[in-house]
Amino acid sequence: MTKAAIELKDITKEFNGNQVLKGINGEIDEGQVLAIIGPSGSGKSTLLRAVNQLAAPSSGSVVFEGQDLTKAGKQSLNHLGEKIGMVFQSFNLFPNHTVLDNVTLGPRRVKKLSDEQANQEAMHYLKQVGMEEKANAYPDSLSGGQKQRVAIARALAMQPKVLFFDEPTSALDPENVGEVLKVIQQLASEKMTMVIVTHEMHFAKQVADKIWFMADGQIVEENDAESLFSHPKKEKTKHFIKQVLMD
Amino acid sequence: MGKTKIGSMLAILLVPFMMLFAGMGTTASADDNSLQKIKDAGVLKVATSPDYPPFEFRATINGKSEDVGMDIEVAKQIAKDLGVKLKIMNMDFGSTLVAVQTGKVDMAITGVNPTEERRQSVDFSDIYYNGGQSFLIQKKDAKKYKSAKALHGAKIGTQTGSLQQTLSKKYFSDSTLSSMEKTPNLVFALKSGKLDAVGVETPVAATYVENNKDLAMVNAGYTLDKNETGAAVAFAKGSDSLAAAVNKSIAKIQKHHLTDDYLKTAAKYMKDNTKDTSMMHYWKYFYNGFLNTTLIAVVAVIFGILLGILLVLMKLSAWKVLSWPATAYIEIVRGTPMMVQVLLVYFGLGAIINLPALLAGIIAVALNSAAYVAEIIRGGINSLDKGQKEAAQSIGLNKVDTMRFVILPQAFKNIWPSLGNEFISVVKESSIVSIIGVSDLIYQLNVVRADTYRAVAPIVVVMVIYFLMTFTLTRLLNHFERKMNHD
Ligand SMILES: Nc1ncnc2c1ncn2[C@@H]1O[C@H](COP(=O)(O)OP(=O)(O)OP(=O)(O)O)[C@@H](O)[C@H]1O
Ligand SMILES: [Mg+2]
Repeated sequence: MTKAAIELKDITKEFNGNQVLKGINGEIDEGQVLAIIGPSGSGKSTLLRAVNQLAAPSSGSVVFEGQDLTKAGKQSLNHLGEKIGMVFQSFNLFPNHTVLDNVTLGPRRVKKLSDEQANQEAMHYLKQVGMEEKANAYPDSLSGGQKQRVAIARALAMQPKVLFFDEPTSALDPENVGEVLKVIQQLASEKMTMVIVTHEMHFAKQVADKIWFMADGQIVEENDAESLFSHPKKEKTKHFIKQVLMD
Repeated sequence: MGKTKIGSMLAILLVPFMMLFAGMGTTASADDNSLQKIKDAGVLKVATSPDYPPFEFRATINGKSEDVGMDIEVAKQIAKDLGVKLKIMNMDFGSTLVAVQTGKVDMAITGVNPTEERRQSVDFSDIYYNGGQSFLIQKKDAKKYKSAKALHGAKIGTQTGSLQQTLSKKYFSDSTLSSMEKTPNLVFALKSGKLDAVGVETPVAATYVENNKDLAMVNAGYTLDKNETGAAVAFAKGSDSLAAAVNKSIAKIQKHHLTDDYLKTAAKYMKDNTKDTSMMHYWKYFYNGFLNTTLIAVVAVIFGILLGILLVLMKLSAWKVLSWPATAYIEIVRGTPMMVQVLLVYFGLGAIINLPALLAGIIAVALNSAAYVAEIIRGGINSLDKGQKEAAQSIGLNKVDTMRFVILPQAFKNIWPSLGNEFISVVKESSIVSIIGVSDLIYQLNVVRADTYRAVAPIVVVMVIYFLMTFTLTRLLNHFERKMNHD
């Protein structure tokens, strides 16, 4: 019933002989939300970056729309890459562009939309994240939560098939976390395919269809949110959940 | 004659390399066409360094600054005898012989002594003038130093690397010897009592005495080989037909004692020059220098930035074929003096295509600045958060667009102050182009000092001009910096 949007086969990643990913297998299902949790340094960010080719894996394959991204040429990579959006922990908005230009840059330069059409679409996405009023502001004048919402609009404007989030709320003040989670929740309800690396366990439980618990470069346990949190099978998982729910 | 500066040694060292560059040899050719070439061209190109009155200097004639002096008259005579037009090309003394060797000019007439050492690299005509050696002294010391013998134990100054320096070492080893680059500086030291005597050639001493009521001269009394002291015309090796033609002109000059007339004419121009030595009177020299310095700086900075961007993109490229040459270029430019680069562009590149000095100067300064700009930009790029590049990549921007819309604009904003410093140093350091005869501020400074016999005032004027230029530039840059920080 669920179709895989992306298939991961035996993905490894080494940094100078230090193996950070030790063979990752799994599927990212279309229209669903996958949450990745796990202790710091377990390789969550590395996995996201390996999948979207920001830092290609050392071995293994990433099958997306019938094509192995690790073997795709530069040209098709650019096109496939734009179909996997990414939202970063530290927002990474372009400080030299206005909010609107941050959102339109990709559509104008990559999708070759006219300025008019790009602006029109951008305003639509900015409205979706509640940032249309700040269209002409520069990123420096925004709060963290506002920046992250713009970053989401920027990713959405490329109309990606899949959207990755790497700890989208970790850099935010607590009072700003809610507004960003709400936007993500909204996307989930619209059946956007998403992969979210997060430390917000309650949120993960609430929004995710499936959860991967990663430790030490491997997926230790995979299950639906309810089962994983209520009845973790592995010791490591139990230990981790106990620890994070405590603080 | 006294003109053997350090620069000439450097230039001589450079020559073999430039020959290579230009793919030219100096082997005496069996088919010597040196004379025919000039006749065919209809122009005689002569290199000279006009900061050495009365041999060659600048004077204002009908409101225009022109080369005058004994050597210029000699050149005119030669051109007339050959039936061609004369084209004088100004450059630093050290560059004149290089210009001869690389074929940039047909000959150098700039008070060159045909020494044995120089005969290794160029050919010489017969000697057309032999003035002898003298010492300049203060008039109030004239009784004390009636003859050069009295100078034993005194403080003697000479031009660095000159024949006079060699001679003073040989004959006055018991005196306190010191040397400086430019004759006007030596004369200033003499007048202010730091030196007791300055060793120069007799005609030079004579013109100084004529134009300075505080100065007097005594004969040095050396017994010297004519080849060490006479002035001759320098040609590229193997220019026998040209040498023969020039020697005919020189014979004529000798026979009619024309150099006496030439010196008289020169003295008249000297008088004109020193009639009014106020700096206002020379405003046009400074103004032209200012224009040229500005032109060089502006054009060099624009091309320096464009080329600098290209270099940094090459250097950051993943392809070794691009990154390696860029790295090598940057290292070489930063690791060698700009002076050498200026000489190399003018004589090396200039041997392949005909480059006017001003253009060569602009190219050299731009090429130099580009390397520094590239490093500054690279620093600016490296200082950016890696996330910027990743974010650009994540929305599918290609490398060029990432650079153009994301990386470079931010890098430029960050490095604006460093770039500003680079612009300012281009303005100041472009002064080195004066060695190939580009009439920038420094060049004009030397001309005015030589013409007016004033040592300090022209320096102050030029300093004020440089300061006003850099000060204005700083203000302008600050203005743009504030504008960029709009948000
Ligand atoms: N570019 C790199 N070079 C070398 N080592 C790296 C690099 N990137 C990550 N690592 C190492 O890989 C391991 C996994 O890092 P990663 O950032 O994927 O962990 P994470 O699970 O995202 O942790 P966190 O929750 O702290 O974000 C760490 O030990 C890290 O030091
Ligand atoms: Mg991480």
